[in-house]
Amino acid sequence: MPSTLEVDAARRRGAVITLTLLMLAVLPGGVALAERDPFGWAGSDSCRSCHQDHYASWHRTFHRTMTQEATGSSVLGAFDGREVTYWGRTIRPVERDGQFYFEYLDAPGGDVASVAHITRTVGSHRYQQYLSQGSATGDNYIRLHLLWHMGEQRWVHMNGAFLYSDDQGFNDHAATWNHNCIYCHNTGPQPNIVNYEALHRRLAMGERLNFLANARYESQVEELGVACESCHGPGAEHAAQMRNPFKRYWHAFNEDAEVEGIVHPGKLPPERSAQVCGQCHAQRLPIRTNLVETWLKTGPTYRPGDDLLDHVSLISPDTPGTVTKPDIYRLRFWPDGTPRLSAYEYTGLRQTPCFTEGKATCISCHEAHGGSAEGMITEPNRAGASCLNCHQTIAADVSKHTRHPAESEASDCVSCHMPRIVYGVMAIHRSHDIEVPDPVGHAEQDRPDACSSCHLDKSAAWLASTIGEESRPAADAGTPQWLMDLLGGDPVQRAIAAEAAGQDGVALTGAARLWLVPPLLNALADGYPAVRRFSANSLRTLDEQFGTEGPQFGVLLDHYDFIGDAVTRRELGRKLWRRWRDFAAQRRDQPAWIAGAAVNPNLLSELRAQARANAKRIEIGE
Amino acid sequence: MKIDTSDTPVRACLRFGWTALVMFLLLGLTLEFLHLVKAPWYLDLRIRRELWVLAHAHGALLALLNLAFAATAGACITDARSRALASVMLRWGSGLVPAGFLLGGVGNTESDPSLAIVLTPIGALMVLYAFTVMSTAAWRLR
Repeated sequence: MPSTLEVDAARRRGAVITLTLLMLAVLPGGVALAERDPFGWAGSDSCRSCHQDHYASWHRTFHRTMTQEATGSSVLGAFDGREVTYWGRTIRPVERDGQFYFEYLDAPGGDVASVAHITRTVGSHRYQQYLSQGSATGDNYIRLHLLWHMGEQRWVHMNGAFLYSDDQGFNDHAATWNHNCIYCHNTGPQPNIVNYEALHRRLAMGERLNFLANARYESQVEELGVACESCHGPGAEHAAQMRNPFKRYWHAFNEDAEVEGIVHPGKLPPERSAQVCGQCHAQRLPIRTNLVETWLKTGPTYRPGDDLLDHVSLISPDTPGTVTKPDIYRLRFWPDGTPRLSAYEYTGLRQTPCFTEGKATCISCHEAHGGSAEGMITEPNRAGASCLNCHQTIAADVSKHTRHPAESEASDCVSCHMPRIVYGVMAIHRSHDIEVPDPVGHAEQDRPDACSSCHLDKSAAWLASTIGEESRPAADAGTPQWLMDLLGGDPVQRAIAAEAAGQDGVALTGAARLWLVPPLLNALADGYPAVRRFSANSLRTLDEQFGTEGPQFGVLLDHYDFIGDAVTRRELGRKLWRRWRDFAAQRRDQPAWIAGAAVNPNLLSELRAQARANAKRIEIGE
Repeated sequence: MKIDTSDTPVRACLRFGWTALVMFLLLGLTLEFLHLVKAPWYLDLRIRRELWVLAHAHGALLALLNLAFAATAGACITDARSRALASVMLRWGSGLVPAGFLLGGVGNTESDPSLAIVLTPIGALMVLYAFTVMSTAAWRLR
């Protein structure tokens, strides 16, 4: 029998062995974590250990959910088996055993001709697109034909999301993800083209082929979606360094000390800071043609903190187009050079004195870890704090500067200086080319303006005359600029005008808004789906506002589908006009504009001819 | 069980234990109040919240262990000097462990407590010493 001392000694040995095993269990984990991938990426899970608050504030953003594996929690569309028919083809979105599919039918209610298994999703804010990966496409991810629109809770054919006319094919927007969306919608993208050399050889031998259509990829990303390292740079080195507690405390007490291996956009010079956002929020091309191969193989070369312009050339109106599409880039800008599509925010900002002279940068207004997920703008900045930091004298008497009541939306800085003249992702956005309103100058440039987008019933000349005047002129003999834009502008002008009519802040109130209805009914016959959609949405908004005091379009508008078949749309259009005329006939005691006099036949045909002449295919590039 | 309250180390632990229980009960009430008023400077700071909860939990538990020490030390540790030293170490340790957690949650960063957190491991070693003395003494009992 062992003595008490022997028992004690055995227990002590046991305790030592237990502690040693615990240490051994911990140490290998630390060693494993310190391993590097060749590109030095760590992943957002590594960041979470130390930066849980920042992780949480990023986790709620649409950046994170930009690209996701298709699962029950990430897929937002209604995969309920109801058929959707557009451009002559019927698709049935279905869910089976937690997997999502688009079944392509040979006819409405017919047999399944082919099936696309949805493996990834793109987007989660305004709409969600769906990707399929299949052997038929060489394992490339292909963007499928339908998107799910979150706001409208409906399926939309991709043709309805772009600024193209009805003259589109069913497959026109079936893009390849691997050399397109991958760059900006993921972290650490590597397209990994596998047949680059083979395709080059075929081209060199004189074969005529579409390089990108024949490219095959084995793409990888460090992380799906836009995660920490998209803005802070690859973080494996930083994560390894910061496992040392002495280094952590050193940096905690020396906030200005540079942290190795990571970038804090807020501590970069303004230009470099804005470029972190500009790597995606500015459409661009590799700065040298030989970088195309690098992009297609290992991805873009820019890393946060670099000078973006050493890596890319920003697309501008002067960027040469292709042989078949010489205007492809020019059309993405208003004639005065202001970007008119989304994903050009950095491009626009660079053109403003706020940026060039005032050192304003993206994070002067936006906060990646603050504010609401929509727009990432904090409440003080929404109220103009970022502008008033520099323009303090204006804050003393806002209405003197704005010529509008200080409490009105028109006195918000952005209402006039960042007008809503940019199209993207089926919505109209604010321009980031911060400007001074110039109704006549802008009208001459064939572009909308803050003034004309709000004072929808006024001509550009009248609007210009009020700037600098203490009192408004009594009469306005000119044609309203909004009307000219809506019915005679180019597709972007028309879309913006159609959308403006449904905005709460427009300078027409009550029954005066009835004047907007006839032009919008005319715009329902537009040849561009995007314009029709905005027109129908604005009519729905107005119809709700009018209530029983208006034409009460009700279900007629509910049944109107901006990408539905043309015959049904025309029939609904006729019914809507009939309803309007009946309503106008009952309101003969009202001013003349009720009868739709604003769109007299001669003017209408003239504007329609202008619109036809302005028919353009605006390639959004997203 | 009869406690010898004339023994200074035992009496000190009794006083410390009950006083600490009152204090850490009050800390618990304070933390609950911060939940009640949804104080963002407490609720939204993960590290601070965790550290202060740890301070409350460790403080209360160590207070109870001081009472357990007072109840059993006389019977276990026969050597008066050892008992006195264990008592001192336990009381200081029982104060330093929650103090480290509490002050570590003041001036902390997003990822780390403030430097006051060093009090916690120092206190933990002192408590460990006291418990080791008690444990060893308990094993020697016949």
